[in-house]
Amino acid sequence: MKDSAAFFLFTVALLSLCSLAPAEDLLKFVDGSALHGELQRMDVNQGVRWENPDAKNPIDFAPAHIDSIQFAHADSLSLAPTCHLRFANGDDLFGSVNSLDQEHLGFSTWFGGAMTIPRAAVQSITFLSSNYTILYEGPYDMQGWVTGNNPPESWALRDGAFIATGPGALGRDFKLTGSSTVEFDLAWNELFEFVVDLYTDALDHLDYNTSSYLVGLTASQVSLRRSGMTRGFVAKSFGDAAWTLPPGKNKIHVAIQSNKDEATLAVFIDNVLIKRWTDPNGFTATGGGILFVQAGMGGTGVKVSNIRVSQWTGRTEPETAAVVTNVDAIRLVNHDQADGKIMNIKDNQVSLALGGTVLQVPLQRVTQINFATPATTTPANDPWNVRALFPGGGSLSFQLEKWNGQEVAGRSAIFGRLAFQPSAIRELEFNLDRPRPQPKVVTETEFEGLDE
Amino acid sequence: MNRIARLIFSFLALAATACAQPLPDQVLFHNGDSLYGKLLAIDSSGTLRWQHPDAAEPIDFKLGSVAQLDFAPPKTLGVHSNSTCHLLLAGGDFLEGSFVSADQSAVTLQTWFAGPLRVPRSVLRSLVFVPVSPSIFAGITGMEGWTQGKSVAAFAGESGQWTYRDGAFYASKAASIARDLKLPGVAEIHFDVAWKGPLNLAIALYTDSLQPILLTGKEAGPDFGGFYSFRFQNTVFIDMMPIKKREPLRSLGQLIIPSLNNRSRLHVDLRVSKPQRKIALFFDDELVKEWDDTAGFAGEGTGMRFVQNPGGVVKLSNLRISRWNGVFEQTLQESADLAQDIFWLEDGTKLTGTLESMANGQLAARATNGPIEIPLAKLQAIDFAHGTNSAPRTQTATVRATFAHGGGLTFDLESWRPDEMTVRSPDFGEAKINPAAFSRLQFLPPEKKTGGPKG
Repeated sequence: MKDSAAFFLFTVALLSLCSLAPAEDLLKFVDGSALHGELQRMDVNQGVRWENPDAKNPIDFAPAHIDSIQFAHADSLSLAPTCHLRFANGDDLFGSVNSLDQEHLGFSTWFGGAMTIPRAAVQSITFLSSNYTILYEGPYDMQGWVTGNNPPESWALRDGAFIATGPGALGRDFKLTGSSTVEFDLAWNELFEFVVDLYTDALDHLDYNTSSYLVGLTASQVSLRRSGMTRGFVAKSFGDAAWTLPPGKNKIHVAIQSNKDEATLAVFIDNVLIKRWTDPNGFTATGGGILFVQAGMGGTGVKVSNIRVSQWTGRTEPETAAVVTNVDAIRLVNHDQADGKIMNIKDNQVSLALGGTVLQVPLQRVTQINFATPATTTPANDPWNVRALFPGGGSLSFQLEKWNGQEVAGRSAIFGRLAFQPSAIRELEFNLDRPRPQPKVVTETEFEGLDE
Repeated sequence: MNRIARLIFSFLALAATACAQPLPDQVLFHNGDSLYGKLLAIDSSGTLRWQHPDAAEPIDFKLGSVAQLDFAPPKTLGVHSNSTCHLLLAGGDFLEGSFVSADQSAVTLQTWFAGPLRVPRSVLRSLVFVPVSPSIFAGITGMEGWTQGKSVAAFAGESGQWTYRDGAFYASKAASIARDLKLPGVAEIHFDVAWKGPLNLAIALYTDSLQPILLTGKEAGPDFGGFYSFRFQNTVFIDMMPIKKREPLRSLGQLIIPSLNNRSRLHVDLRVSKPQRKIALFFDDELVKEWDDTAGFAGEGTGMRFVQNPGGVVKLSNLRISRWNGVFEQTLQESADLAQDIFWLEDGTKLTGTLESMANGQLAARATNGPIEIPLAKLQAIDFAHGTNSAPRTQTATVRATFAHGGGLTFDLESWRPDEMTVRSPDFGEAKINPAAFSRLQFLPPEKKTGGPKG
């Protein structure tokens, strides 16, 4: 019933786009239901006070069955981090590593400055490519976005997601100049045929006369074409790559890495590399924009959310996923990996004990450090144990103590006492001990010899 | 624990959880929001009072913002289901109850949910008498009477058996189970199916074999009588195939329903008429397909066989079989503009005329060649005369209600309490209705309110 209800709600949401109210916060429950409105306050004694425009009075909810609160407006963080930390409890943060020894990691965060945290809490450190910059994280509003071929039922913004129910184009000039990583979640309600036009000058339509790269996505294949006149043809196809969509799954996470120095473009779905193409003529796209095109027929709907566009330079692409390992390991820019015991990070070098010797590896040669899988701790069965998701990426769990218009306060097992501006949080997850929906993985069995 | 075992465990745990927790009501708002909980009241001032399990106090919502209410199934609905008469009204409204009387101006039904309702002839489209007969099969209660078969196409080590638990059969590997259910020639077959992974289920209808038949090797296998194979393949592909020995495989028409990929359970309703050689398929009470076997009805037995093919976990429950009145929706819809009433008799013949009265077990009508009388016991249905000049409704309705047994009714809702709702119908005026009759109330936006008859 919940599956069908969720599908029905998605459909209703699509159909109700024409009568959208101004952006509101969204309160989601673990049973799949949801209520727009505005968070008034939270504390452990009185619960969550929610103002809903259709309710005659504010509503006080106990947190026991709240899944999350999604905020309509969040202040973008200006981040130029050098590394990305993943923690054993599922948190992750962007920042800079200052030091590492057997017990502690020195780390600078945007919210707390330089801090020292237990090494045992850290799962991995990913060193970002040089000049790594997050250009965009959202969406929160339509500002800067351009729609084209957009009949009323096509692209619209709702609850932090772009939703299209008919053919149409949605573009934005990110002024891309370097290599880039474009990430987003894609969900759909029937079949989908989706195109991402990268490094384009045209923001409201597919323009085959200018040079850009077009990534095509369907439920069964990924393709790459380069637009622009080449030997009399308006587009060059680099071929298709098949992928298998597990039955029942209607949402994927897509990451597209465009490496200008290497003239490569790689597509990842749910953190799995589907295909990396190389343009033998070099990276020829010249624009700075990105265009999303819903090419499917009317009546089918797609939803694009959690868009993040980052830019970097150099030949090394940022790692997109951490590796679970039972020993410490470092991954190098040449894709080699060395296992051993990481002793420390000091003077821009990492010390790795290998048998009886200790290697000193310059940090600029390291792309990722994975620590031997630390003992994970199950989050306490307390609905006030929440996880905040920040604009620009990163998440942090803590025991919420209070939330009012000026301050969010709580205590983190890793960082100790915390306080934020409420506007620094784009989403707050509750009931962290509840298993979150994971992509369904079903082994397909070939249907042979129909048996009646 | 291997993968299949984990799947089954989680599947059973899910089913157990679903059984243990009573389903709540759900309110859906025009902006797509929704909440589970319990409807407490709707009053004439336009306030809907809702109890959410996590809210400290009942919540008062503006009724104008509400798009739909879905109600938890009432526990006692089954006792009300032995109605004898269905009325289809202009605009698609539907009423069921016990027939009381009819004359040139109205038909009167005695309903369990609203007492006697007098419906004017001007809004009537059809009347169908429903056979009052107990269910031929009323739910899976155990393995007794069922025959497990060996799935002949299964890979070595991959065949299994259906298992029984809490009113349902489960299969996680290729498995077959069958029973002679004494299917009548005109039957209604209901069941619920839930699945994980791809749905690869084949159901044999009107079979005389309790063992599975390998379709690709049927000529080499034992003899069997003809049957219909209704099948799901990879969830979204649905087919109905007449299967006979020494005849090539053929399909009556395949369906592809991609939205089933987003589902994990389904209520299936098959309505079969052997004399008309037709089978209608309903999913969740919505007509999906009518198959017409122009080569003649292929089924030669009275049994059913459920065969789970490899690749998924499936649960079957609520299998119910009963006699049916044999009236396909399409038959009624075809009579869009009628100059005279049509009287359908039990043997399939039809007479035309003008209804004068129905009382004392007799229908009296006037035909072009004189009066006719038909015993009500032999009457199956009436399509009422109507045309484009039918009297339009004098008011519009703001609510479309769906009966728990299927079918809908439109009206203005004056108030709702747990024990009684007050409505005003454009067809039969004000009525007090037992809320348990309905599984859903849809609040129509102004531009979608129902107006005059469509036909």
